[in-house]
Amino acid sequence: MTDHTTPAPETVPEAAPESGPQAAPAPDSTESLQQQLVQSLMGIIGAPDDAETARAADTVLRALDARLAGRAAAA
Amino acid sequence: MPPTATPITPTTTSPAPAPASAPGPAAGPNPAAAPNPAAGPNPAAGPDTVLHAIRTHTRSENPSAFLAMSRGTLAFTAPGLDGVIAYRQAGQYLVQLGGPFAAQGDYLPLLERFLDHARSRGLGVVGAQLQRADAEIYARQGFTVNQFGASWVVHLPGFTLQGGRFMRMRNKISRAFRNGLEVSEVPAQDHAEAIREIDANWLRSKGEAARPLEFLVGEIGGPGQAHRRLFVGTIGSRPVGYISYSPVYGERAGWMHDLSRRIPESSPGLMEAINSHVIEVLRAEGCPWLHFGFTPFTGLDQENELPGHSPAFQWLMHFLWDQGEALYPAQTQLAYKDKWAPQAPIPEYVAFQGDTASLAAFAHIFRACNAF
Repeated sequence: MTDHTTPAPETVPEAAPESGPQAAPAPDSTESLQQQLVQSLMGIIGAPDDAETARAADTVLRALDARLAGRAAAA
Repeated sequence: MPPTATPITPTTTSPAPAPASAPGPAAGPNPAAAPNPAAGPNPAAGPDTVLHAIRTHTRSENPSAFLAMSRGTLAFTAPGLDGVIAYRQAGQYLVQLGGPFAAQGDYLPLLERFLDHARSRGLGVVGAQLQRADAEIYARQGFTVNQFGASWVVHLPGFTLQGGRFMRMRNKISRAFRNGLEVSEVPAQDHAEAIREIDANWLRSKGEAARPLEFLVGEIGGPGQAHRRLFVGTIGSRPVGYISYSPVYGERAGWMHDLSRRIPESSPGLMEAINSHVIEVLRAEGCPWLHFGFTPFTGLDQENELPGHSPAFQWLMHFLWDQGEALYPAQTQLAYKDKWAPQAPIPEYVAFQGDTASLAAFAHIFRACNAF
């Protein structure tokens, strides 16, 4: 890995919807889960020792895993 | 001279390992794990032991193995087992550099002892920069394994900067030399002050909050320095940049373009000029491979994913490649490596305990690197 970084969690953009206008995605949509996943990562970086933040992130990741696996199976 | 290629260790039978499905931090300490008290981070496993392991046990072909020699990186060993696991602790995780550098028959037992050691302390384990061979083993042991990025390498015999592809770079290199750049290989200990000045200028240019990365990034100094090579660029006798090269062992033996820093206001094309000089030096020595090391989020390909990978984490890697500049400037880093027309990327992996990926474990790889 190259030798510098300046993590700035607040500057990492949220995941954008894959298509269409920039309206807020439905709360349980794939796009919403993707946004939540990115926010969860930034939350962990902001509070790396917080077990609740880590658990909440796991929940989001599992939900997105299930959603994307379902999509792949349907394709 | 390039390092010597190391022999493949003969196959032996290894005992069945424990499954990796009981992850650490959330599960808490497990007194039933009954770790071997003699196994652990071993201060007696000095640099000679680590160097022997990474030189000898090269089946995984990890081009970054020499990072195990860095100060601050610990070596886990166990009595009677030939090999080491290089790692650092970050928060509630032990973050591995690559897989075990171990004799084939001792690979799984050593990993098992390491997992026991972590479990007994209530810690989780996450593996970073696993090579494909490691990744397949970890996946079979119950880890969730995803592609994390790729490492990049140039085959030096036959390499030339001639041709249209390199025209812009040739111009930049020429400009640097016209500006008075001179490149020389130097002993690091004789240039400590110059290195400090370059580092200080470089860090200032990254902003007030910048933190130099460690662990998955090379260093200058320490017990490994005698094995590295340092090339410094000067203009008018003032040091303006350097590139440190670390040895790479195995089938793709050679050198890795590792730590590189420059004074920002110095000449354009500086790093390209230093590296082009080094390429000529290495080619003259008969060195076959110049590695550019690992870049997270690069070279991602569905074909590289293993069964059982996390699709959500896979999506995240693509997202961070596209929009994760603030976390790690992967596109900028790859742009530099891509200038040298590397071969097909070598996928590198992250391994998570349990049945899916863990964002907390992933974040702790960066924490172990001093990123936050």
